[in-house]
Amino acid sequence: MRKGLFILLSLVLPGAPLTGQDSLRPPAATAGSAKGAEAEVREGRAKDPEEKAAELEKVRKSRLPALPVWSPSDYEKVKRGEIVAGQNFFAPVPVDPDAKIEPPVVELPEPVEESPQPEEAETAISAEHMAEYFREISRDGRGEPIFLSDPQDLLSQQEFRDRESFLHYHSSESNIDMFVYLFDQRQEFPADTDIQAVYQDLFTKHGPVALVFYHLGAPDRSQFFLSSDIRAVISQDEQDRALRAAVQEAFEKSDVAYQLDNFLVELSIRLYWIERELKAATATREARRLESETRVIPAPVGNEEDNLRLVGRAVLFAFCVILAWLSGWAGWLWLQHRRKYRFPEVECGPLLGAPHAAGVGAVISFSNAHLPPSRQRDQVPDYLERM
Amino acid sequence: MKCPRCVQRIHRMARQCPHCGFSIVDVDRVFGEDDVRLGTLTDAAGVLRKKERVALLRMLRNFESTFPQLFFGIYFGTFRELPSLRQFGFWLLNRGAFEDVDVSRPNEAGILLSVDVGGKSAGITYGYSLQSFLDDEATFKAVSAAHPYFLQGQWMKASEVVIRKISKTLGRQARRVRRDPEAFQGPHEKTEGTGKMPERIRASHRRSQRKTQA
Repeated sequence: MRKGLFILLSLVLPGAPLTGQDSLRPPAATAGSAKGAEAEVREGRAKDPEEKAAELEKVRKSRLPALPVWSPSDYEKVKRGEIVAGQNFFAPVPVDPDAKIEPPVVELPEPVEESPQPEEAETAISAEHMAEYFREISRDGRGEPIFLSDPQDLLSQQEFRDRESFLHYHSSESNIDMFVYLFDQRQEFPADTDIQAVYQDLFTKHGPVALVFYHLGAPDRSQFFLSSDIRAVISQDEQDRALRAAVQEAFEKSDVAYQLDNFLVELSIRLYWIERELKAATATREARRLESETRVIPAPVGNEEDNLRLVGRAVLFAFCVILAWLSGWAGWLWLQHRRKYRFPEVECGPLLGAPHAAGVGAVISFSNAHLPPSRQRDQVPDYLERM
Repeated sequence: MKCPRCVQRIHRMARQCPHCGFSIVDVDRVFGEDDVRLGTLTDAAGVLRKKERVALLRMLRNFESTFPQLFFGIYFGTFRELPSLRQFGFWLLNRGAFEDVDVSRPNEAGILLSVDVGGKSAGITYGYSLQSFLDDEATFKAVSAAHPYFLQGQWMKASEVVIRKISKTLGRQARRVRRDPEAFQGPHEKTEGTGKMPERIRASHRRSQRKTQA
């Protein structure tokens, strides 16, 4: 590892020597910036030893390690074989403790700027749009109400048509129509706009209705309001549960349009159960009313005679039916009794010498009450039994 | 057809059983070759009350009314040393002269229910005229339907069940015959008719009686 680093440095820095190899090269063959230092060293041979030492020290302190220097005695030693060229190649690489490696420059992404606070344009609903929302109940060309109100075109046309058709389907199946107003995720209503006020303005004469203010992308901000006749029967808790379930179902999807889908489907289901509860409550109320009426109003005298006559007729009718059935049954029995069965006249030749009969049928024993007749059927030759 | 002794299948024209050599001579040797006079309801064992006898007789007359060519006989007996109920029924229907049966109903058109009260067994035998319409299985169904009553000793009820079952089977067969008469012609040859048969039967009986008196 250390050696690799050294080789890399020697490649990057042209003046870096290769230990051993460079020592074998004549000093004149070294390249780059080392040439200057080498020349200086060569020249230094002629100088004073002090100057030479200073220069060497200077070189040692330079950025690059000092080049090896051949001395005449080394040369002699090489000749004698005391020094082997390249011997220090496998020696531990000298590392300059002062050498510094520049860290690589990493380009980091710029920090994301924090989103600014929503502007007022995103939260406010223009007066024009507000008027379009709540002017009246929108109707299509055939005069049928449009259940989905989206004047801001938050949904695409296709998405709008799909949801609108679902609301139409719900309306055809349920007595409680569902009107949905679509708003953007962050939009806030003006202070004077309230879902209850909208109901009072537009839907008081419409019959059972469920109003929904739905914020596209933020189902949890939705508002849900039921007409007064439903609220009289269905508790607020139950209404809240319905809304919570719809919101929870909406969050199952990530796409805002699909969120609206889920929301509407779940709310439609909840409205079905609310409707059933309404019917049961109405039936109970009606039964109580009838009961109280029958308790209060005495039965007219004339009706009793009618009832008696009716009962008499019913009894007479039942009697006639039974009599007819009995007559039919008796007639059938009589016919069966009178019925004659005839067989063709056939005759077999005398069998076993018998003049009249040789038809031997089944013989069963009834000595054992625990065995079925099939187990007590006598099919054993007589000479194996008694004869 | 089956042999009354070895219960093996035999040819419809066999003069004696090819398996065991049985013929009517064998049973004549045991029970007698003379004709026996008896009624369609014979209670030799004495197990029926008078009321039951009357009811059973009425039932037998109804059977004869429904099937104008046939008659039904019931024999209750206790046979201590009876060799075989099957052979006894075979012998009785051939040698029995049923006094309360019209001459137009020969023994060939008879069905006999024999009950061995002591030996606790019951069997059915039928004449030649019914060989195409009754078989071993139909008679087994009839007597097995009456099995619970036989077990309890309710002889009249058991006989009633057997008669009703046999009547039902015969009624069904008669309807089938009406729909497809040729299916029941089979290998049998047409006879001169039951109208002439009684004369032949009675003549045979008279001959036997004369022989006995002599």
